[in-house]
Amino acid sequence: MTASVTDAVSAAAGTFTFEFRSTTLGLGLVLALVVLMFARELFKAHGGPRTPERVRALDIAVWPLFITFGIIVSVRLLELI
Amino acid sequence: MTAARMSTRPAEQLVPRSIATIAGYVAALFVAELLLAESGFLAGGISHVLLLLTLLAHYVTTEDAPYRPFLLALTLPSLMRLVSLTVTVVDLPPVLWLAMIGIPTSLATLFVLRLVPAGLGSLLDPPSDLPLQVVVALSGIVHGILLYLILRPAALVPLNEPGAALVAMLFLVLFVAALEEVIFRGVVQAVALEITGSRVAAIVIGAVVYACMFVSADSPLAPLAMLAIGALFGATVAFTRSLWGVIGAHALMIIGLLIVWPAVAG
Repeated sequence: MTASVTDAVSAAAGTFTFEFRSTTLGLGLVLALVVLMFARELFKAHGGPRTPERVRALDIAVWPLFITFGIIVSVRLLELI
Repeated sequence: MTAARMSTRPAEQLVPRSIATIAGYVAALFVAELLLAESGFLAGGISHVLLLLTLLAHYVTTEDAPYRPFLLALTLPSLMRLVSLTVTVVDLPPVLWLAMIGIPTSLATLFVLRLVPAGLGSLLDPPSDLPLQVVVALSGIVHGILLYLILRPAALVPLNEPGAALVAMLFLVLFVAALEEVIFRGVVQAVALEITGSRVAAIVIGAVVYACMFVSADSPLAPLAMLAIGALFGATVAFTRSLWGVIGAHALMIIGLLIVWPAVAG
């Protein structure tokens, strides 16, 4: 048991299929990723002195969520093969 | 409260307001973890999505509020939980989960450190008091035994498979001990210290945030034990100004808790 993998996380992995988790919470993550990427592009288009800081702040979530999305897609593809 | 109005307030009013904001977001993290434990992974996961988006929206829409760096620091526990709820594949060994969660979370931590000058600082410089750091690191053996007696977790990998045990130990050091200490002591506590100016407040905030992550553990003693461990590690970092000792202690504690002591106890 660690901060990242608690009993509830292990239980969720054991109770619900990856397919179910990826089409529920995974979908929520993808939507959040789309919102953040949209906001990121809006800030870039709007410009201004604080734009780089704001874009970097959004990057904190954008890139990890993008990697997570990649893992979800990879696992789902492997399940299909 | 707009940034312009914030900046006109006297400094003595800014710290309580910052602490109130920090307390509010830490309470939200606690609720998200409680929902995960009590209402299931979807309720907990959606709460963390909302918390993450709120923290980032709050950060980009405020300008001069002193608590802003804490908003970024608190995105890390939420991101860690979201990734852990999504990428864990039951067919893969749990040791691999640590890397699948740890890599995106490490990336997020690097991005936070780009924007938060108070984060880490000199905490990862070579320690000037090496013997003290070694003693701190060795204390992790005792913490591991005590935690094992309290929590009695199952072994992550059997100790009689040396290859698997070594890989598990490496992943526990990198993606649990080092990553969690950098996040909770190196970023959250350091940012809290910068904002509040109080070592005690910073240690408490860092320990509470760390303990919140264990609310979704089965044992009700887990968050209390981790609150104590977090406070102890936090105080050690605050007074020795180095993360190396607590990273070593955390590594020995978690390796003992999840690999060595379950095997020894049979």
